Parts: sequence; C-alpha cells; structure tokens
Amino acid sequence: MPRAPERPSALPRPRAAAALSMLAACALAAACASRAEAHGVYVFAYASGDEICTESYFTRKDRVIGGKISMSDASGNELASASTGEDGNHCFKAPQGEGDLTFIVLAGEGHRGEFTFPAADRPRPAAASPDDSASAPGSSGDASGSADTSGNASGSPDTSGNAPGSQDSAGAAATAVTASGSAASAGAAGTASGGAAPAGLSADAARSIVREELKAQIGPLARALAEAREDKTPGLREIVGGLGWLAGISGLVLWLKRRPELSAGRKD
Amino acid sequence: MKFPRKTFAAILPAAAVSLALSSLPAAAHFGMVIPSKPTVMDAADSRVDLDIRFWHPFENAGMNLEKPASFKIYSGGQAADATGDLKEAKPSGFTAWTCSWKAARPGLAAFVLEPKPYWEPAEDKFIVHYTKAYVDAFGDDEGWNEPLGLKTEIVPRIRPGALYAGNAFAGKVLLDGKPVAGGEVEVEWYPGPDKKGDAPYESMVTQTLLTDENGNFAFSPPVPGWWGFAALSDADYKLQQEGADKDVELGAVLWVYFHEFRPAAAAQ
Repeated sequence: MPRAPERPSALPRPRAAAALSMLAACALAAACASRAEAHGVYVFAYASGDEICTESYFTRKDRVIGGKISMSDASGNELASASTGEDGNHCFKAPQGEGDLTFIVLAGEGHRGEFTFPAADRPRPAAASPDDSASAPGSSGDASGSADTSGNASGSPDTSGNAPGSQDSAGAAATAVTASGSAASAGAAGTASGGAAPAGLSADAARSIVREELKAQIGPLARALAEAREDKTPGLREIVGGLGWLAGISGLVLWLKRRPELSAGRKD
Repeated sequence: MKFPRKTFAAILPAAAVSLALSSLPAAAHFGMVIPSKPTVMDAADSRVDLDIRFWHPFENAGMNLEKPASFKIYSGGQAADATGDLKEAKPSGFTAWTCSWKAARPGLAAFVLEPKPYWEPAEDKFIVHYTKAYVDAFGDDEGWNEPLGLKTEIVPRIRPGALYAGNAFAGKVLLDGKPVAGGEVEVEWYPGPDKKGDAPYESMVTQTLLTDENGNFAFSPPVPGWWGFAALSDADYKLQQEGADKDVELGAVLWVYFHEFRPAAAAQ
C-alpha cells in the first residue's frame, strides 16, 4: 500500500531524520515538539503460543525502531523490558500469574504508547498451541522465543529480512486482493499472498499468523451465530401489510361514498 | 373545512394503518450498517456489533430488509464473506440483521452490505444500496482512502476515523471504479435507536448535494453521531417487475461517525 503523503508521520525514516535536523534550526522549541507530537504512538499485544508479542508503531508502515517496550503486571511492577526491533516488534515469554498486563512503549521525544492486555487473553505458559508453531516457521514469535526478555535487539533476527521493500510488495498484494473484493475472496487472497511470498517471506508468514488467529477467534463466534440463527418467518409481515392495505382501501371507499352527504351537510 | 366526525373516524384508522405499512416516499431510503463503536482501542472491549437495516434514518422509520445478497468484512487485506453469520433482528417490528465481529489485530475493517434489489412501487424502480462503514482498531486505519472495488462506493478523502461534529467530511463517488461527476448525494443523520430527528420542514429531513466534475463532495454535519451519505446513480441495466423492465437506482452509501468536540482539559 502506498504511504499516505498527507500524513507527516508517514515520512520514510531517513527523510524524517532530515526533516528533524532542518527543524532543529527552528527557533521555537515548542513548535518542534508539537511537530513531533503530531502523531500518536501505539502498542498492540497479542498472545502467540506461550508468548505475548507486541507491535509498536506510529502508523502501521512507520514502526518504532529501538524503542523501549516494557511489560508490567496489574500492580504496576515491571516484569520485563526490551528494545523494539527493526519492525517495531518484540515477543515476551508469557509470565506466570493472573490479571491484566500493561505494555508501554517509549519511543523518544515524549512518545509513549500503552496497551492493556486483558487477563482473559493471557496464554497459559504450558499450553502452547501447536497451530502457531506449525503455521509460522519464520515468525517473530518463533525466532525471538529464545532471545526474549534478555532485553535486546536479538529479539528480532528474523525481521531484519523484512525490508521495507518486501513489506511494500506484500502490502501491494493485499491491496490487489482488496480491490478484487467482490470476487470470491478467500481463494483470491491465498493466491495473492502466495505471489508475494518470494519477495517477502516473513511478511507472508506474519500474514498467515494473522489469518490463523482471526480464524481461531472468529470461528467459534461465527459457528455460534449460525447455530443461533432463527428461521425466517416471511409470511407474517406481508399478511399484516395486506390487511392494512385492505383496511386502507375500504376506508377510502367509505369516504368516497359519504362525500355527497358531506357536501350536502356543508351546504346546510 | 370540517369533516363530519363519523366520516373522519372511519377514515382515520384505515389511513393510519396503510400509511404506517407503506413506505414513506418523503424520507430517503438508506441502507444502514451501524457499528456499535467506530473505533476499537481496548482489547477487553474489542467486540463490534453491526446493526444492518434498510431504513429512513432521520425519522427512524422502518422498512424490511430481506436477507442480503452478501455481507462482507474487509480486514487485513482480505474480504471475508459473513453472509452466513447474519442474524435476523426485528427493530420496531421490521426485518433487519445483525452481525458480530471482534477486532483481533490492529487495522482498518470495512463492513459492506449488498442487499437484494428492493422494489419500490412509489418510485417505480428498484433500489440497490451498497452500504459501507469503517471501524479502525488499535490506532491503525491505513487504507482508509483506498477503494474496495465495489460496484459503486464512496471513497473517503478525509480520514473517517477522526471526525468531530462540524468538521467537513469529503469523499469521492465511484461507479464501476470511475468518478461520478455531478452525481447526487443524499445526506441523513441517524439519531440512534428509539430517537428521531426534528426537522423544521419535512423537506429538510434529507439534505442533498452534488459531486463536482471529479466526483468529489464535502459536507459538514452540525451534530455528533452517525451520518449517512448515499450517492445515487442509475444502473446501466434494468430489472423485471411483473414482466416490465424497470430502472434500478444504485446507491453508494457510507456511514461516518462524528464525535463531539470536548472542551479543553487541564494539561498535565
């Protein structure tokens, strides 16, 4: 997908750096700060096997590189922290215990993003889903598993292969799928992602994780909905509507019949 | 002019019944897809319920929406067919539909209703409203200005996930992927369940504007809430009604949420 040119945050990194150094000449420090705060920073966390993976970003294309990401428990104790990788991602081993977890990313210049990971979604450390490891051989989840919580950039070895170019081509493929949306979607999506695979294997793997997760989360809901669906009762409204029309027409007839009386009455 | 009371009493119930059960041509017809929230930021509250209707929004007057031809959810570069997940609902006694969706990942989701052609005797034509709404999740709404490739659609030109009441919303109307110049766009407010708008004159229930030569339009709603934009075109095909060829009105409907602009709070 093309970057949105009207959003300052969508500047590619080198250009953003250049822009910042130009702005450094700017006399008003406050103005500079407000430029920097013209976009938010976000962190998102999701369970993946026995890990909780985080993604930190300004926009989905403009990730937080080398920001500090931390995981805290419900009482605010920091459990682990690390630096975000080239892709803004980092996976933590799921901690023991209960309660919500809070993930905070510090991206410099006062940029701070926070995400509450609900207690209900916490993975049980022992119960790694076999699906995840099977479907995502190159995912950040797997690769960083061994390196996690030790605190640093080794958490993202796989993602260095995920160059902006490859991300873009994966994005373009996704756009193509979207554009052909009215055609049968699932099949088309598979083909398009497959086509993008040589250019961006890890992006593709990430996509397959997303698909798996969506399926896992939405599947039961969809089934429940389908089961609970009521039978349609098409006749009722039409019958009542028909009666209404009949009543309306007979009312009209009555009125027409009484019109002579009416005008006669008025003359009196 | 006075009606004798008896006559009036005879007409009134019949007229009321037939009026209530026939459609109200004064108000515009709108396909409706109303998400229970326009933005998802909280993982513990990431479920979105979609209210799917064919309705007169401003006056909150119902029509029946028979089981749609399709209901699709576009997210993560894919279109998922959720037609089978639709559940019938009976708001105010009319047939409508609901669907549930859970935001599992950051990203923009688009929800698209394609109804079966609706025969409107009062206008002597069929109506097909392709109806769309967006929900952005966890700070990511990239792709908001990209068409989905629908038969006809409104593509936002102002980010739809960040609008305050009084802001202009701007969009481009596409039919078969091409801009519609001089096309009519009808605008109505949906006051919410069990509420109706209070227009000074009936002629002000629906507001109307025209697209420019590039298919672009802009509109500034005066109050917060869901506002519907219905860009109307004539189809290049006819449909049969009782053996006769009838015109088909195509609608590209987009529902956009405008937030209340809150007074300033004390800075930290």
